[in-house]
Amino acid sequence: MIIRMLSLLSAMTLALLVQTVHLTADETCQSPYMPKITGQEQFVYVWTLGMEGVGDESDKLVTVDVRPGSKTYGKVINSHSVGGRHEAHHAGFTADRRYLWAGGLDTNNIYIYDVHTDPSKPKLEKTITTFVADTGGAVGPHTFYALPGRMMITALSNDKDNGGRTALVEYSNDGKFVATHWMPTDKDPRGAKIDKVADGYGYDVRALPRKNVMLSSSFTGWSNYMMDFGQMLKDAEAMKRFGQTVTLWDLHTRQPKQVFHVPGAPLEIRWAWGDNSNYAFTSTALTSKLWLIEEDDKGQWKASAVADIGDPSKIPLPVDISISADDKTMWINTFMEGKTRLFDISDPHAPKQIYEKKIGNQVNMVSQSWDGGRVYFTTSLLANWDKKGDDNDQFLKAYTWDGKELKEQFAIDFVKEGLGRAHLMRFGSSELYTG
Amino acid sequence: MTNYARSTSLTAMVAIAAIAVIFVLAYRSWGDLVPGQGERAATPREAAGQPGAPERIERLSALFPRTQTHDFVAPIPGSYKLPVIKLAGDGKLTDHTGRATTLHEEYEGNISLLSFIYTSCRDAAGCPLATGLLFDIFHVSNRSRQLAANTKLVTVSFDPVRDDPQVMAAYGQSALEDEDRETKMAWRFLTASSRADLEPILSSYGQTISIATDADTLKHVLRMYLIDRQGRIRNVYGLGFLDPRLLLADIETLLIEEAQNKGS
Repeated sequence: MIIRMLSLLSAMTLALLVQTVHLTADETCQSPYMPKITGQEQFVYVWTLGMEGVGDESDKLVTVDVRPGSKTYGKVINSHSVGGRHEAHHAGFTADRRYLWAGGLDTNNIYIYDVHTDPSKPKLEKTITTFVADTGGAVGPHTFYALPGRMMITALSNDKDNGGRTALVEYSNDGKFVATHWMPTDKDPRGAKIDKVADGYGYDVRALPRKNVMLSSSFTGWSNYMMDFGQMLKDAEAMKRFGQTVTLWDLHTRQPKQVFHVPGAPLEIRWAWGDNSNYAFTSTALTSKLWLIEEDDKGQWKASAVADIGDPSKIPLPVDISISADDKTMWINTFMEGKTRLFDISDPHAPKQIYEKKIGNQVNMVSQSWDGGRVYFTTSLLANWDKKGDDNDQFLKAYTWDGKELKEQFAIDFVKEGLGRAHLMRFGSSELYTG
Repeated sequence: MTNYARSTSLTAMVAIAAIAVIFVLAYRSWGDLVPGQGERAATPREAAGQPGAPERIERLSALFPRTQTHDFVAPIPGSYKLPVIKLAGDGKLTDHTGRATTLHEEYEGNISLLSFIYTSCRDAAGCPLATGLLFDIFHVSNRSRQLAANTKLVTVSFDPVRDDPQVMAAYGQSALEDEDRETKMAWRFLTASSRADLEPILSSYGQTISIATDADTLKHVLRMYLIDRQGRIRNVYGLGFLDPRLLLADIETLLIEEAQNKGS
């Protein structure tokens, strides 16, 4: 009896110890399930769109050496072209961080790279070409979010009307289709409580395992993201086809629980990392606001706008955001201005801008190291939405951040290098796979 | 430099302080977890085979509390689906008595929870956590004859060099020699004869390991697998999902699914 009681006690104590410890550590925007680079990243992988008249004009995974002191520091050390243009967009590691999945929003291809055998030279291991058929009509594989043994993928569209109605999709780590979870809609809420409207749109997905919840956001469908940006802005009907919801899911059962009204295309979702922090942020592209999704003292979840990003009347188009590991600050890029802003979010209900810097004529993605001391930026939004002519900067820029100023360390011109449009970044390190 | 975990002295202090609270709670709740006398007339497998064998508790997951690290209401078994992820791999292994077996042989006729460990693991967030969780489930399993009769725990070492059958027997001793084991779910402790036998098994489950610089430590990502009676992986668990309520709810969901399929 005593032995059994102690074994139970031991297990409960271990559980308390362990989960408190493990769930606090991560690079700032990655899945909590994967091994982390908490020190110096060695490589930055850039999922790059092919560009007409530039290099081989194909989408490619570019590897940049960021090891301080390396002879090739700040240089492209590998580039693997997948052949053709697929609207390369986002990418994400599996939960064991041994493979990087990279998607094409147009052709729906998914490229699975081995990044552990030689992290300096990712090797294409498998290509999934059956995404639409596998999923029953989901289109536009976007976010790749690691869960144990499988990949949770958000889609952006569907093959019926190429609009924004879409789904969450799961594949096993070896690239086999597992399940499709269609977003709740007004007609088919699937048990979810709807605050105002359920548009069924999708974009990003992020989980908070401690609360067994997952959030998904909403952007727009294929008919818009493949349209010329200027043409779309003049198309009143097209401009109506943007997401205005954030959906709260039961993480374990994959059932939608609540649909919040968050107008203006909420994009990236970032959960706070604190052990007792039950909140996440998202930014809205069209309305230029920072939103807080939180659980209140009564256990109810709600969404509220907590700050403006720049001057919303000028439509600066907030895009990527990056939360610091201590939950105190957040980088927010605005594509149209080519700026990054740092917000103090230590009071999540009252974020305040404390710094801004122009990075280029356009800027989209931002990735920071775990300690926040290094910050990387890339430029491309979508092939048909990027700026034209001389404003069409395409680069990776690396900065250090000392708490006061961003200082540029290197810049790689992706056009001059014959690479294309620089989009998503992920960090790599050989130390993840060695003792 | 990489790190799987970041420990803090504050965390340790909180955990130690919590031990006293947990001890009291565990002691108080223990009476609820132990079957009453005279209720062991039949083994669970025997009882489950008897038509109309009563279920004493419908939701074993309710026996475990909501905690700070799993701060949510557990899902209701049968209210959700567990899609097939892939076929569970096979491989040659040896049990704690030295008898040859295979994973598929172990899975046959059961819903299985598979856990890869190595017995000398010192990472509190690693193998001890997984085995502690299985102990939780093992000890309450005699509260449900259906659960005990239809579920098997399978612990496999990924350290065939040090974890021979004798070591595995010692590791699983408290379960293997549990005086109430006949009323609880089966628990098997297995190891491989060689790394060559082990490698294809680890590969098929995506369970990666590497030897750390101190040579005694095996770096690995903690994983547990739920396998249905048809030998298909129906869920994969890592930190964050390793909550006994979730594991039990999933097992019960598979049992409900089986009952529904038989009825349809």
